[in-house]
Amino acid sequence: MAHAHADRPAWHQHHFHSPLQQFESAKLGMWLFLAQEVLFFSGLFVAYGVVRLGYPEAFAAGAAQLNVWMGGGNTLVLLFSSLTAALAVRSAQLGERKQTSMYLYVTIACAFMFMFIKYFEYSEKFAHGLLPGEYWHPHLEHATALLPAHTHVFFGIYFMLTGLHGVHVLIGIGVLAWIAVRNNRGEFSKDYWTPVDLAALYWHLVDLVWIFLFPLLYLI
Amino acid sequence: MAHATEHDDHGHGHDDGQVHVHVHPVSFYLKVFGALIALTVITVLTAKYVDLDGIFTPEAPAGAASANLILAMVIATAKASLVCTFFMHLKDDNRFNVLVFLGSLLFVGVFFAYTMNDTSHRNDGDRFHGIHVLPSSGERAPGGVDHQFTFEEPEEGIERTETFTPHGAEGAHAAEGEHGAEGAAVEGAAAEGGGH
Repeated sequence: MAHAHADRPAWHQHHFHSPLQQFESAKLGMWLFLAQEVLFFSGLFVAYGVVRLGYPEAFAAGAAQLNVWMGGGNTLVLLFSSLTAALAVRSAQLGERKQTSMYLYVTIACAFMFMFIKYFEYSEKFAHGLLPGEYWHPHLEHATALLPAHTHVFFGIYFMLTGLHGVHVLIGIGVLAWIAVRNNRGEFSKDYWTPVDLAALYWHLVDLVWIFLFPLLYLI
Repeated sequence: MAHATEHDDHGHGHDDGQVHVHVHPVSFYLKVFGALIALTVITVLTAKYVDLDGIFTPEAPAGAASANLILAMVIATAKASLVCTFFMHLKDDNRFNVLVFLGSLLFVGVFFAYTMNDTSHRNDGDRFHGIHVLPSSGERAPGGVDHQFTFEEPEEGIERTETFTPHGAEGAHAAEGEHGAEGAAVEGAAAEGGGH
């Protein structure tokens, strides 16, 4: 593992000439990964576009079944968690260890809150039989309008998009928790906070995806 | 940025090989957060209560011209830009990282544009069903499939040739001809074939 030398701290890896080079390499690597994540999600977003073009009435009817306030609440939760993640990086840049951990804990709590709200949303869908593909068996007792026959297509897209995003939230919880553990061990300082920065970048991407998911699924 | 020389640790200019960042005050992040919340509220309210299509084209049904979709996407892009520039520190970062991220968006744009364009033009066939005119006289050239779709009007100035119907017989005999053909397959088929 990393070990200290007389002239370089433990976190300064041997194959990097200077801390600046190490930092810039790490940042570039992370941004390349984020570019990949954008393209990763873009497959499902394009699927949304293509399927919506083919089944506009199914999408209108399906979207009407979603709860805008739960989706909007999740948006506010994720935006707030992005704020706390950015503040965690700021605290790390200042070498404030306890504050960094606190902000990381709040970010993780927001992530759990997001999954909690999502659990209620999914439960409602399951209870009414609004499931994708062959599991589609709607039984909405209080519905007033008829559902188009292809509405299950919308729910296929809905569950894939929000499900994949939810998996990313869970991974984010793991990553942020691991960084919090490392922070508590004293691995970071005002000279070295790169892992906190990179973890926050991942979390911001999760928020970015939701910023687009929310209007596309819930609002229009 | 970091030079691969021995001058790194001697404070050469401001490139001393160390990481220098400008730490923003908490109020900076709070202001960005405020803007994000405001944009979220605007997008929810305009989507639920404002029918943009109704304002621009009053006679069209709600949602027809997708102006609401465009507005929602503009607001989402604004929110994403705020998160990228300020929360993700792209504003203070190496410009190459900005290029990497914008590059990914460019390729998503290509993916989207080409796929949507292709899909929306599916089943675009030859509208004229292979009907051509002779250049010398403007008369209908032989060949091509005449309009067998009842909802299509013939092209202006082009004469129809013999109307082609799938089962050959004139309208009154069509239903009978079908049932009759099943009962006396060989004769029926021969008669229908001869009728063309």
